[in-house]
Amino acid sequence: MHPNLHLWLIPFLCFLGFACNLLLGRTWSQKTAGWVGVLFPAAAFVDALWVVSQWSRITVPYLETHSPWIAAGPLTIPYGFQLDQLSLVMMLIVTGVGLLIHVYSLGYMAHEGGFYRFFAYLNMFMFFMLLLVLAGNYLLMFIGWEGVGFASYVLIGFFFRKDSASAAGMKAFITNRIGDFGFLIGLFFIFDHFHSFDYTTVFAQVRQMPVEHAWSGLLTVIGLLLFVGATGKSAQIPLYVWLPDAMEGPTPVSALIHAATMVTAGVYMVCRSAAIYDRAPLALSVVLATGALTAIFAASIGILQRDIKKVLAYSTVSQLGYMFMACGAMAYGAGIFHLMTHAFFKGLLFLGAGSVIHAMSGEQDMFRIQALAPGGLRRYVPITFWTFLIATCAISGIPGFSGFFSKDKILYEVLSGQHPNAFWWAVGTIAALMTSFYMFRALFVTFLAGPETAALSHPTGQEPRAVEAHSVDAGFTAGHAEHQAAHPPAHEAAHPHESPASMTVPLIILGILAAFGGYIGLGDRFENFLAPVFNTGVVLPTHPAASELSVSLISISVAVVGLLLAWFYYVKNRQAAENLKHSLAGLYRLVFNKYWIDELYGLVFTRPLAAFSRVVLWRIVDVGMIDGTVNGIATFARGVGSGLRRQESGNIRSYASWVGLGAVVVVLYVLVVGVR
Amino acid sequence: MSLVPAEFYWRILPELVLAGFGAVLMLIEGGGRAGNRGRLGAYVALLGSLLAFGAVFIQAANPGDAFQHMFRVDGFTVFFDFVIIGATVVVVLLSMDYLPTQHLERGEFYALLLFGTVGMTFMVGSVELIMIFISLEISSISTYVLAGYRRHAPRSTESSLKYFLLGSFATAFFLYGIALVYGATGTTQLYDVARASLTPIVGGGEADRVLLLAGALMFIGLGFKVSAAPFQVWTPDVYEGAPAPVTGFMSAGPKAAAFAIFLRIFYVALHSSGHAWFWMVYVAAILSMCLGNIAALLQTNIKRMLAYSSIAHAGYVLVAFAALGPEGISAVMFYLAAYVAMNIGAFAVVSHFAHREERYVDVKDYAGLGFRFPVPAFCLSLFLFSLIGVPLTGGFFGKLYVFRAALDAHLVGLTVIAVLNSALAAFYYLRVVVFLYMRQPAEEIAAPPMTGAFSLVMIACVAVVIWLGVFPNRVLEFASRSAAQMLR
Repeated sequence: MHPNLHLWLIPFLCFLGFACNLLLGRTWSQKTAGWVGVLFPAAAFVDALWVVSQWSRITVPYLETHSPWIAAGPLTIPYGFQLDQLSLVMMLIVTGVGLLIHVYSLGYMAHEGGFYRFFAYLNMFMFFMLLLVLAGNYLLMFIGWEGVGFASYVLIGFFFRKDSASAAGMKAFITNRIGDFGFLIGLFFIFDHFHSFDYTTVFAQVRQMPVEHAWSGLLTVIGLLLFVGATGKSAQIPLYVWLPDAMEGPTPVSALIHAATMVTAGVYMVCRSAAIYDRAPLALSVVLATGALTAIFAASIGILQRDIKKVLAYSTVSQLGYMFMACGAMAYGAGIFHLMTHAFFKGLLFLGAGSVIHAMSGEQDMFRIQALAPGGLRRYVPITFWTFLIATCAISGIPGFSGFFSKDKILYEVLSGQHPNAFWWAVGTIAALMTSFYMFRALFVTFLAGPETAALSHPTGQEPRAVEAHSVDAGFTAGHAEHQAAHPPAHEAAHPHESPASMTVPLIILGILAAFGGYIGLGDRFENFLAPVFNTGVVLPTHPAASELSVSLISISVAVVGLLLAWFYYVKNRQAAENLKHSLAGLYRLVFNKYWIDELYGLVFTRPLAAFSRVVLWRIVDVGMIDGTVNGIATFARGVGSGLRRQESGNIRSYASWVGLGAVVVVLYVLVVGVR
Repeated sequence: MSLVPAEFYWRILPELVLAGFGAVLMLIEGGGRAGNRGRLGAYVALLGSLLAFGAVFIQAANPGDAFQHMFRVDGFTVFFDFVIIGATVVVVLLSMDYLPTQHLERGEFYALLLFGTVGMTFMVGSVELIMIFISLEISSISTYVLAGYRRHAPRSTESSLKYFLLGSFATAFFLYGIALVYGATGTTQLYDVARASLTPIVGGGEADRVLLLAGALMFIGLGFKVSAAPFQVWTPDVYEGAPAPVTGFMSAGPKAAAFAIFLRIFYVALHSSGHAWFWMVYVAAILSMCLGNIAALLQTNIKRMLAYSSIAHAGYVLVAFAALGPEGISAVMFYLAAYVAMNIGAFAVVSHFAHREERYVDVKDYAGLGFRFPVPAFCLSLFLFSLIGVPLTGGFFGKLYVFRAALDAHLVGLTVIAVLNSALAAFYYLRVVVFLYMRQPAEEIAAPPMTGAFSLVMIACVAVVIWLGVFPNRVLEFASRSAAQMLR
């Protein structure tokens, strides 16, 4: 007899926090609102720990169903929750990292308006995210999925008075709608075929089905459609464009939603659907290729970004690509492992970046930070520096740190697992080199002293092709000039200072996790723990192309080379970087402008759409058809008095002729078709 | 010995109550003192509509036919009576908030509202075509007058006149259709028509063809009433010109009632020719969704936008209609219930913000209102999310059931078009939300304080939208049972 875990309580606690702050927060002091906002996620975390303590007493998967939510004829969907190894791990990541980031926000958001609103939204996000990971069926998961999207939308637009922030919110929302559309159609297919949304029911039937070889089997179609949803939520090619813009939101939001939890929902969903993907080799290959391409593509953009949050944003996109590579190689356990270590080190990186921005009173440009902190920012913010260093080592795959274990595992599986591909392994390894390079570049530039301090404080961003640009990356885009305008040099007087304890304590805790979190994966322990979830009945032979040790050695050397290159170009010899930039000017501009993908999307989608609405909808439909029939409502409004009667009768006649025309069509149809 | 059994009266009790209170209102308006007659009328109308709402329970306890099988009380009748009378209660409350600001409050307004409701409730209960026609006219004539109620505003008069002329035009088609039904089958009772169409009185194919033509003509008349394309042209002008609460009422009550008889006539009486009229519904559904949504994208006037969106929603309902089965009926019923709540709610907020002479009905006027008037703005956002079909609102399940009914009937193409359309629609609804919360106001618009009546409207609509979104079960079960009953 196993105990009743009351899983619903975990999301519900966060919902309570949301409701309290939303309804009463306005009347509370900032302090009360903040503590209430932290208290409920803390309670949820404690509850999650209690659930862990009951682990040995339950049979897995543990299903919890409440009164039917929808029960109509053949369709029965209960408010069902499911706890297994996978949702357990996700639940701990969401509540644990979420709690730390809530605490951090107490310090970070102290100077911003709308404190209670911020915590209310953050709690709402936690509610939906927990719903997503604990759901026992696809429909409830979809509600969480939509909910986190909505929460992300309001949090990105939190500084809604800033136009760029609300525009970024819209972009995120609309891009995600495209993905959700695919996801939804996939769900329709699932329901149409399996007559259920429950994981257990669906997967039990999937397990009876053979592995598909054709190009268009049912499972392949479902897998591809679900993956469309995942590319939206987890920012993969081609729908990744919203994530970098989403950095307009407050930094704790970037850490929680756009690094540690929400963006990994797509990975979670693919892993959850492992039974489907294992039987759809084509879908797996698409996942693998998309992941690898995204990993290298985003990493290359990250190399030349100046804004510290943008670097981290592209880095997130790239790391998510690794997780999808793992899924595509049928190494779901490795993917979830990387998801977890990534939650630690990327959360830490974002919080560290937030601490830097906090210290520099809002400055986000790394080169300006270097210029504004004489002697290196490292001296002013030691805790931030050391934790940031740990996280950088972790993400770069320096041996011993958490990221090393998970990334190495993924690369090994891609090379010689159940669904291997040596080409994508090579791509992933090159991306790892780039990762190490751009992360250490960010670290060195942000925290160490720059060479020519005086010159750097007057960047010449306005002059697009200045050959004699003072800083390494100055110039080349008008976007950079706008960035300068948005951050007037008023900050130069700012005195860098270490952040308060509410911010540094989460940094230290995450630092410990980022450093040592990888050791639970030693000897495949982590993956063996998850294995029952991913035991889908499909076992393919592995293709050991190389020993695990030699793959590791390659990964390690790649990480170290990246580190050394960054050190050479950004600490030892700045001039070399400058020279390299000029000799590769074309490539440099291509990458610095992010391959002009945003512009390309503008050209291919946004502008034709606008043109379509202008020419077809407006000129033809609106002006031609609607205005023609309506015959000038505007004139009517002007000449209300005398012209009334004439205008009126004209309108009605044309309306009546529309109705008459429709009637003629209907009657003709009946006479022609109805006679048979 | 009485000629008319007492249950017959119980079965039309809501209509009797409404008609009685309507008559009382006319007496007050005619004979009472000038001054606060309007307010008194409002309370009387509120009492009347609430009592009528209660009377539906008594009606529901006495199922069966009445008056020579012209009227039938079954689950279907009761369901729509609840929806329509509920909408009337809300509109009365809303008018108590709106009419005083416009200096228009008079008892006759409420009397017209109640008489219109009598027509609609008779409509949904009638199973005989002449009765349906008469009640359709009762409801329409009241609505024509209500649409022109701001009689000093040219737009409003125009709205009323257009609605009247085009409405009469469409009704003529409907009436001709009834005549043909009688000609083909020798009866106007819907269930008798259904039986007779299987054993025609005139020779074989001939009756079939006449019945089909009759169906086409009635389809035109009813298509006009529910503003389905291509008979939707009147909708934007009429909705824009009519007073905002009346627009909310028109988009809810008469529409629900018209869909109800649409269902009864086509699913029951014309069941045998379903294969032929199916394609009319199919095409009308696609046209309504696409035209409605594309045109709504271009609107800046909120009332006009909601008018086009109501055309699109008629299209979604027709999608379920095309499913041709009990699931289709119950999906239509559920969708309409959710739609009535969210649409009246949205129009309620619009009429609340409209101000004197309806000055503020442009989307730009809504800039920044989210923080100045948090409660109405939040409610409006909720209704718009429900119109989009976001989970945990009634609109979500409405759409879900509609799509499911269509998928069960293997209408995959139609469902895909509907899903695409609902994605497109999100854009113009969200634009309003963006203006509410993310734009700086150009002009600080003045809004009246929240009155008690308006708060009640908000509470009622929000409660129904959320209730249908979180616990849709009981309503859906009731709808499924009623659908089975109706087809029997």
